[in-house]
Amino acid sequence: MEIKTIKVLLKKYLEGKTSLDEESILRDYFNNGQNLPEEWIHYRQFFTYFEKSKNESFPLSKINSYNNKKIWIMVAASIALLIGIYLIDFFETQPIVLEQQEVEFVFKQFKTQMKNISTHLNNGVQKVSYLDYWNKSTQKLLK
Amino acid sequence: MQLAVQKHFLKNIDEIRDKIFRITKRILVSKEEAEDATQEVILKLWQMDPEKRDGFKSLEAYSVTMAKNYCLDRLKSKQAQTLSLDERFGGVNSDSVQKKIEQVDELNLVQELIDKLPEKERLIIQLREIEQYDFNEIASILNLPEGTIRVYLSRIRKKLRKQFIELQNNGN
Repeated sequence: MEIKTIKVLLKKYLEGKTSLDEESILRDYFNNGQNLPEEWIHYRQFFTYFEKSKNESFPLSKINSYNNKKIWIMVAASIALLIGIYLIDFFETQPIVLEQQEVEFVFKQFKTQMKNISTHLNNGVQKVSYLDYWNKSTQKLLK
Repeated sequence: MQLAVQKHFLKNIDEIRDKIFRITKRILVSKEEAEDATQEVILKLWQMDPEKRDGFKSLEAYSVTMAKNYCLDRLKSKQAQTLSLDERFGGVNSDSVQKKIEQVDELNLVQELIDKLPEKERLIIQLREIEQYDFNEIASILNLPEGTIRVYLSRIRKKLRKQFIELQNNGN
């Protein structure tokens, strides 16, 4: 690249009048050029800095560590919750001791309830059995 | 269907994420804060109605604008809460700059000088010199006329060059 052209471009550059294409010529010249004139050495610092900065990327490990942190917090929270529930349970529930009479009373209640259930269930079954008649008669018709 | 939309978004955002990170870092200076800000901006984009999101002419330009607003708001609230910006960035105290220069190489010197610019000027440098956006794109991101951007850019380039040369001469 001719020094004259660069000189013109640099002047435009400082005035904020260069296009992106022209700036890329400058970038290329200062990043790769050999034997730069002494008075332009400082430009090289700027353009190499810009070039270097362009490649900086978001540290991806951060994303994982961020998620990991979250997961660990959740795990820790759920363990704490479980221990808490267990402790509350442990202190609040006392062993259930029933007297003989109570046991009999409860058993009686249970028995009557089961009887009720079975009679109601049978009611239903009787209705269902009509279906069987209907089935038989259709089969006769089909024959 | 929803999954496909989100997958598409993730693929797009992969390319934009680095840009957002560089821009937020340029404004906020601190790497950690920039990481948080980037996550925050991407989360906001993710939570957006996909139809609205796909309706943008350029998701990239929208994301960059969003990142810019987010960072400037953050700086503003910080400024109100704690230190003044000058304190935060050490001010342009030539003594301390002088000392630092002796320790850092010249590439870092460029970075130091840019870091000491006001946040708007840092952002303009980032958008033009590093992300290489067109003037009309920068204008729409910053909501300023193109001519103003050019004037700003010219001023910043001259200023940086002048400071760099001065510091270098003093250092030698």
